[in-house]
Amino acid sequence: MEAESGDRALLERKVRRAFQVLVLQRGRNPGVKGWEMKRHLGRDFRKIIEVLSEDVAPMGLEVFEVKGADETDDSSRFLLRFREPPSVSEAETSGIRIDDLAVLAATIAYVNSKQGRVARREVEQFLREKFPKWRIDYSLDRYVKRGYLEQDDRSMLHIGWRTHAEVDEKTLMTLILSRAQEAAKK
Amino acid sequence: MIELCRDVESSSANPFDVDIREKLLILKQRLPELKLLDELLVDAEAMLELSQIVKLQDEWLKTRASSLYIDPLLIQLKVKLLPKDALSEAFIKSWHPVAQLDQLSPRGLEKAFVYWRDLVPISERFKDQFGTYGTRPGQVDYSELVSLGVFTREQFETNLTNLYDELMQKSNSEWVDYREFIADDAYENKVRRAYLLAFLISEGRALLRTEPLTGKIWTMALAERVKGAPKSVAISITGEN
Repeated sequence: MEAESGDRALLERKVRRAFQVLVLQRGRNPGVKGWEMKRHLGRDFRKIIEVLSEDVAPMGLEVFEVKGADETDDSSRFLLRFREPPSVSEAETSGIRIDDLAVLAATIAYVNSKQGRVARREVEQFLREKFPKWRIDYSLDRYVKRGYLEQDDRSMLHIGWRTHAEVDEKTLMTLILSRAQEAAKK
Repeated sequence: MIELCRDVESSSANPFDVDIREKLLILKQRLPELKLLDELLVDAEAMLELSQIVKLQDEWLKTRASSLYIDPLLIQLKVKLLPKDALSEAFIKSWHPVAQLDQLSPRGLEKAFVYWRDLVPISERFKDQFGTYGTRPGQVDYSELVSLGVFTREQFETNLTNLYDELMQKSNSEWVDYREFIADDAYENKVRRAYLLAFLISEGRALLRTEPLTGKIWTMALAERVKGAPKSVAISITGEN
């Protein structure tokens, strides 16, 4: 009985620690790498994360894993994120510009349609039909900086780790396709 | 071969357009003919570029196999049809923002304090690379020149009168070029003449006119001293004539 309550207390302490580790930003990018989680929580950190993810569900949050390039535990990035997308009015009141989000949505859709990599100048040309040049330059630079897009040394754009972490890309593509059909009908 | 691979890498062209098997066969056939180091290096570079293409082919297949693949032309058309707010709404409905606190921790505050405490003043920071800074431009007045022994009071008055007479003679109620007037082979004399002329102008015994568009500066001696609101004009005196 005593051993059980001791285990429970240890688990609670580790879950609390996991929450603190995840919620405080370290360095420039949000989230914590797998190797760091292991250091803070021990080898069974995945179990702790599962418990934490259930615990934060009533608050509308979840722990999300973004796989690293080599798909190992150490290279994965763990983040605390909204379980459900915010409403449009919530997103608007947080100060995000509709134009900026539209640029990002169109870029993600276009890059995905081009097998995940496309020359930046090609994206710029694609977006120019809808947005002014200054807005395109500004938004693309900003999203590269914030990790939503990645730009390599050949000026090719890829989907960034933050898009993989925050955006349900399949839903986005489906919504773009279905909304466009509705718009065409009107 | 290298150029072809690089073209594919820096565009969204289909990486399967490069026939890897064919290119490898060519490299294999040529390898025994390669003797020089430069040739072998180019061969290695071609192999590296081909491996990059194989990597791209792998990524291409993965994306194509995922449900994210949609014909780019179709996407272009759909995005063109959608208004901006519908595009952003589609994004918001598929968006799960990261929740995090961005705050300064006590450890961060300590690091900032230590950094600030140990930061060398900017005037000292680049001394090693650029040496010490030269003395900033300043002002030297007449009394200072006298104290430095550049002039004695008598010499100064005499020199001033001589320069005034010279200017009066040259200008003869006409404007003369300022730079031509102060010109002298020795830089020190040039500065001395400019200094004396500044004194005459300040005293109202000569006039100065500037033409900002052409950069020309004119001067003229006056028979009678005039009084007016003084104005400052900065003129650089260089060693060039």
